[in-house]
Amino acid sequence: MSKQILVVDDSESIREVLAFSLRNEGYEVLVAQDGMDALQYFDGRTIDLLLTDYHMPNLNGLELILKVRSMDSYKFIPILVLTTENQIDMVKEARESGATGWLMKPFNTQKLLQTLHKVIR
Amino acid sequence: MNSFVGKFKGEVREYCERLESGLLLLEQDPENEQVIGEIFRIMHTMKGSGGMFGFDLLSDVTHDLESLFEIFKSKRHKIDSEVISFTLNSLDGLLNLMIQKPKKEHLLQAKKMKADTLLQIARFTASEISTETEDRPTTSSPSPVPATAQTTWYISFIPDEKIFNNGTNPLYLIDELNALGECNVQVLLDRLPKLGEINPSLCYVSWNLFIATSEQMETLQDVFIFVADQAQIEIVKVSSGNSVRNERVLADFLNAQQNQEKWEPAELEIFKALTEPGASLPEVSEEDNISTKSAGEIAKNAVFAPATVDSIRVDSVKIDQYMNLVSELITAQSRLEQISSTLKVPELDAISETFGKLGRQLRDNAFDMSLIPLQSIGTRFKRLVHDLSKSLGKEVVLVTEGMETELDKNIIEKLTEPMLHIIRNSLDHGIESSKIRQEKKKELVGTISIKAYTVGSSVRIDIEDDGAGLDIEKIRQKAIEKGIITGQARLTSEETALLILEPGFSTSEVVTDVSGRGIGMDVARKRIQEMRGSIEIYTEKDRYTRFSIQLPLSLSIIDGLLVSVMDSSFVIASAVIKKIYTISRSSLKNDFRQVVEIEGIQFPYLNMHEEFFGQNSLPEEQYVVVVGFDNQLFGLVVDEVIREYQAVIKPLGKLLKGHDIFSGASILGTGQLALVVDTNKIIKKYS
Repeated sequence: MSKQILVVDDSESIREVLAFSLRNEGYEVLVAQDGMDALQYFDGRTIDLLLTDYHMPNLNGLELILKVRSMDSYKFIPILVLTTENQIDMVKEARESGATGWLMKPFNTQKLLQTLHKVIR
Repeated sequence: MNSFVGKFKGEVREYCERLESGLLLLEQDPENEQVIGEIFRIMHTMKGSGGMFGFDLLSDVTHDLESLFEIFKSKRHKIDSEVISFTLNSLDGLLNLMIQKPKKEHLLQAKKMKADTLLQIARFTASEISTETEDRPTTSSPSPVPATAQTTWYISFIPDEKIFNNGTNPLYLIDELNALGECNVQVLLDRLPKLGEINPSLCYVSWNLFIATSEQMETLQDVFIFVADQAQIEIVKVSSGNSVRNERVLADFLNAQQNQEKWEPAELEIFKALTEPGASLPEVSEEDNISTKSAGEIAKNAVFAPATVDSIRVDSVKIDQYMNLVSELITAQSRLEQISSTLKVPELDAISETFGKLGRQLRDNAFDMSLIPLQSIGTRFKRLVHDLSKSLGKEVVLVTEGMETELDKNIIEKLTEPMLHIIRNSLDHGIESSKIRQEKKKELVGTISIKAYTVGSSVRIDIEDDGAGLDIEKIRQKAIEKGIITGQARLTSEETALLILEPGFSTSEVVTDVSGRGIGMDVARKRIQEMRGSIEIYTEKDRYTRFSIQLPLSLSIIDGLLVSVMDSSFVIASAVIKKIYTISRSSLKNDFRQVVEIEGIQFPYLNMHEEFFGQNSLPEEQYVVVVGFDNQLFGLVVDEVIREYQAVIKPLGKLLKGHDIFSGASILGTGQLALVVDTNKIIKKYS
C-alpha cells in the first residue's frame, strides 16, 4: 500500500499543489483545511506523514502537533511543518512541540521530495 | 499548475477582502488581538503562497507588511489609525502586483510600497529598521573543490535517546547518506541496555560511518538538519578521494579519533599504493573498539529502531500474490485429494487429509489478512456529507452503523466510488432543503444512514436517506420516454425504482454539479455487479430512499458444495445451503407451479437438469439442495451431490457474462471446470 500523507493547510491552492505533487509521486493524500479539520483523520487509520501549515484558523499547526503527539497511535509519526524563510524561532518552536522537521516555502517538487525522504520512504 | 495559479489568485482576492474587513474592525477596536493575529496570519499565508506560485513582488511587499504587523502582534506598540489606512491603501496595490512577469512600472510600484512600509515600521521602531527587511546576505560561496572530485568523510551520528519522540527515523538519514555516495556504515550498540531494560520508544543505536562523496560538507550537514538539536553529529574530513574501503586509512583515522589526536586529511596519492580494491575493514575497527556488526546484528537494530512492532505493514500487492498462491495451492490440493481417492493408498489418504486441513487453515488465514473494516472508507463518507451538505446549503447528518464489518480489501477499494456516488445522489436529490422539510413537517436536519451487516457469506450495506423518496411515476414516464421500457410494461415500484440504474437514465432535469460529476448510477451498479454484488432500491414518497448493496465477503475463494448434473459440475456456496434432501422424480413431476413441499414447507425450485439438459435421461432420484436467502427458501434440484469443495473462483470470460446465474468458474482437481452458481440471482430469477 502506498504511504498516506495528511496535508493540512488553510490555503486551497497550497493544499492542491501539495496533493497534486504528492499523488504524482504515488503517495496517497488526505487533505484538511485546518488543525481541527485534520483531527478527524486520526481515527485509527495509518497516517505515514503529517505535513501541516503553521498559521491556521481554529487549531494551528503547533496545537495540532501537540494533539497528535499526545495520541498513543500517532505519537511517533513524522511531522513536517510548512514555514516561510526567516522564521528560525518558529522552526525552533515547532521542533519543541514535536515536529520532525520543516519544509521551507517556496519549494519545488524536488525540494519537497528531498525533504520528505528525510522522514519517510 | 495553471489551475493552481488561478485558484491562488482567487484566494488572494478573498484574503484581501478579509484583510479589509479585519482592518475596519481594528478601526473600532484597535486592541483586538484576535483580529491582529488573523491579519498577521493572512499576510503570512499570502507571502508564503505568493512565492510558491511565482508572484515574487506580491510576496516581497507582503513580507514587509507582515513585519509591520508583527510589531502589533507582539504588542510592542499599539496600532494607530494611520497604519490602518496605510494598510488599507496597500491592499489595492497588492492586487495590482499579482503578476508573474512584472513590468518596470510594477517593480517601481513594489519598491515604493516597500519603502512606505519601512517608513511605517520606522515610525514605531524609531531607532532601528527591522533587519529582516534589509537585503538578505548572500550565502557563502561554495568551496573551490571541483564537483566531480570525491572526498572521504567520517561522520559520527549519536542521536538522543528521545529522538523518536519527534517522529524521526534515523535510518532514513543513513539512507540519505547512502544515496550521496559510497558508505561504510558501522552500527554502535554500546548504549544498548539489558533486554529487560529496553524501552522500545528510546533510541539506543548510534552510527559511525565513512562516506566518499563529491558533495560538499554543507550537504552532509544538511542531511541532519532536522536532528541537529537532538543528536551529536561530528563530520570530519578523512581524505581526498575515495578511501571508504581503504582499511589502512580508516584505521589510522579511527586511531587518531580514539586518542583524540588532530587528524590531517590524507591525500589520496599517499595511500594509492595501499588501496586494494575490495579490501575490507573489520579487524581494524574491532581493534579500535568499534564493533563492525554482521548483517544480522544490524537487522536486529533495525527492529529496535521503530517504536512499536505489534503489527507490520505489508504491500497490498504482496497480499494479492499471497492470496493467489493460496488459491493455486488449494486447486493443487483438490487434485491431490482426487488422486488419493482413486488410488486408495492409506498413507496417501492420510497425507492428503492433512494437506487439505492445512490448506483450509491457510486459506482462512490469508482470507482474514485481506479483510479490512468498512471503517477505513467511513471518513470519506463523513467528509463528503460534510462538504457537500455545506455547498448545497442543506443540513444533513451522517449516521453509520456496523462500520466494523469486514470486507475484502479489493471489494472495499472498488466499492468506494459507487457508494460515494449513491451518497452524493441522496444528498443532492434525496434530502430536501430545510424549507421544504419544514413544509413537510419533517425534522429540519436530514439524515443519511449507512448500515453494514453480514448476511451469510455476503455483506449487506444499506444507504438510506430520509428525503423525498423516489417519484415512481416520474421514473416510469422517463423510462418510457427514453425507451428503456415500453408503455405496457407492468413493474412493481421496486422494479421501477431500479430503472434509475439503467444507462442513460437521469431524473434530474438539470444535471447538477453534484451528482453530475463522477461516475453515473449505471456505472455504480456495474461496479457492484462486477464484484458479484447486487443492488436494490426501496423507497417511499416523502419518507425514505434506501439503496441496499449486497456483496460477497471475498472475491476469490468460497467454501462450496460440489454437485453434478449430467456430467457437468457446479459449485453452490456452503454458506447459503440449509438442507439437502433426496427426492424422487414422481414427487416433482406433476407440479407445474414449480413448487415442492418437503417436511411441510413449500418452496419454489429449479430443476437444473431440466433447465440445462431438458427431459433427457432425467434420473429417477435427484437431490434438492435447499438454499436460503432473506428468509426465503429455494430448492436447486441436482443429479448428484459430490462433496464439499473449496472453490477458487475465477471470473467467467466475456462470452459468458450474459449467464447471470453463474458468478464464476472453478477448476477442479481433475482439470474439469465447475460453474459457481449465484444463488441470489437464481432465487430472484425463478421464484
